[in-house]
Amino acid sequence: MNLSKQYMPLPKHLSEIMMLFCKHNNLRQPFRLKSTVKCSDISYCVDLVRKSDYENYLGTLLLPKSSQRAAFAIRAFNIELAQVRDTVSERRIGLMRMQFLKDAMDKIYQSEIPNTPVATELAGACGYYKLSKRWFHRMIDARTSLLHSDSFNTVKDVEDYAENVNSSLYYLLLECLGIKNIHSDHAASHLGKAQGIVTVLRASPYHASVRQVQIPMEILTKHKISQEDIIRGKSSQPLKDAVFELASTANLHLTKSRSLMSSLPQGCYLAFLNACVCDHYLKSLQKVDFNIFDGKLQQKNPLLAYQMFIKKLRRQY
Amino acid sequence: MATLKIFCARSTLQRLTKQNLASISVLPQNRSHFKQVGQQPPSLEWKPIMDRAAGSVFWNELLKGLGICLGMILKEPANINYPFEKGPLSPRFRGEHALRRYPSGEERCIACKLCEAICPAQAITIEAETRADGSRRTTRYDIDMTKCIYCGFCQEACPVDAIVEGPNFEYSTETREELLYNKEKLLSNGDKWEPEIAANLQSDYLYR
Repeated sequence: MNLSKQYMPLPKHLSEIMMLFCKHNNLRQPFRLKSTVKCSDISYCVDLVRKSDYENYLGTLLLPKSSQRAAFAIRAFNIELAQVRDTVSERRIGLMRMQFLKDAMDKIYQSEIPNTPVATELAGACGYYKLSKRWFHRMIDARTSLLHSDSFNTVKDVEDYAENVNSSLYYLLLECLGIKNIHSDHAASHLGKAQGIVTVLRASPYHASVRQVQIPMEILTKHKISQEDIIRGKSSQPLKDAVFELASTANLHLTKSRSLMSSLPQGCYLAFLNACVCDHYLKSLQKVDFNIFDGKLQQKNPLLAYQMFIKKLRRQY
Repeated sequence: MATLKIFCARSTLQRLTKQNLASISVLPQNRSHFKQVGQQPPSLEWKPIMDRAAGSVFWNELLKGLGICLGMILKEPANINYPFEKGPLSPRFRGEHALRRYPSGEERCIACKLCEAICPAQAITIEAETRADGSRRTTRYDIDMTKCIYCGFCQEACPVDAIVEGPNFEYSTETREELLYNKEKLLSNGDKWEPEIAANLQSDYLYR
């Protein structure tokens, strides 16, 4: 690939990231075409991740400098995928966008790179780190299939979806870090599942506001909860029990993933620093007695950056 | 409902009893709990009559009306001074179209033609060619604003957030031709409204 020769993983862009930091002190800065800040593709990706996925942005900043650039590109691509479901009002339009992203991915691997910042950055990263196309395709396919069905039937479905969407991302990050190890993949798989279940729980109030329920049907029928109750935001004892059941599944995956920590190769923990986010959510869920509609759960964790940094110093996740 | 049924049954029952079952004891029905739900007629006792007369002598109704008037004067007016003040707009408001650029100044649109395909009113026309640097861009991007039905599908279909329906709703023109927007017009709209558009698009997506 032509671009991989030009692609410098050790970024000149770090200064740009710093400049972006400065720029972000006043967010509503008027748009200027001839901006003094040099706006490259990578700074666009960083900006996108910072705006839409702040927690993972913090996590990505803690990665070693050599793989940061690629990690930002992958995260930005994930955001583009994740946005589709929320922005479209009709399934058909969502499918069109997904197909576009899939085609873009294919084109990246055929070295005819679509002229968008995320695709350009991704192409560079794919060429340099030899990232596998399979993980990208799995991310796209899983999200496309969720466009078809609005809800999950079983906890297994949620886990599979999470495995495809979140774990694939971790596999790619591991590839960027140059780690190929069966244990690290195992840990990534469990962490991704935990993260996916946490996202389902965490997003419930939002989904309820758009009349969707993503808590698996299997659990709802087991605890005899009607979807309408969740949509109306009623928290009842059966719902708390159901949430508890899901949350303990997530916790199980998280503990399993963490128990593998000792067998992981060096530097692997860096990709998994985001486990803090799941951990914090599950703990605060316990504090509010498994009421997913509690306002406290929607607040940002102000100490997240420090928690992640301490984990990094301790070489844990 | 039960009373009604018994009431209906009663006539049949009476008929039956009259015919051949004279010995059956018919339950006597006492209806004593009537409620008056209509307007009560004015009482014609001396005291209420005097009260009403006093009310009209002292202009009770007029004073009440004046009180309401005073209250409305002191209240904030409901209408706004339109061209200078504007009402609130939802961030999802779909107004005049705009083509956005990347912060680097490059056009976002990569001529994928998804908006053209999805447009139910077929108001969008795109022609594209590959530039010298190998990037594919539009040479022509026209929107017929007289056809557009403002459904917002173009915005939803755009994979790079290039075409958006901005918050501007004041673009009336004198002639019809001015409503046939070309690429320059759309791009200049984008430059003009970018701060508002960017603020409206911003949100936390991933935790949903």
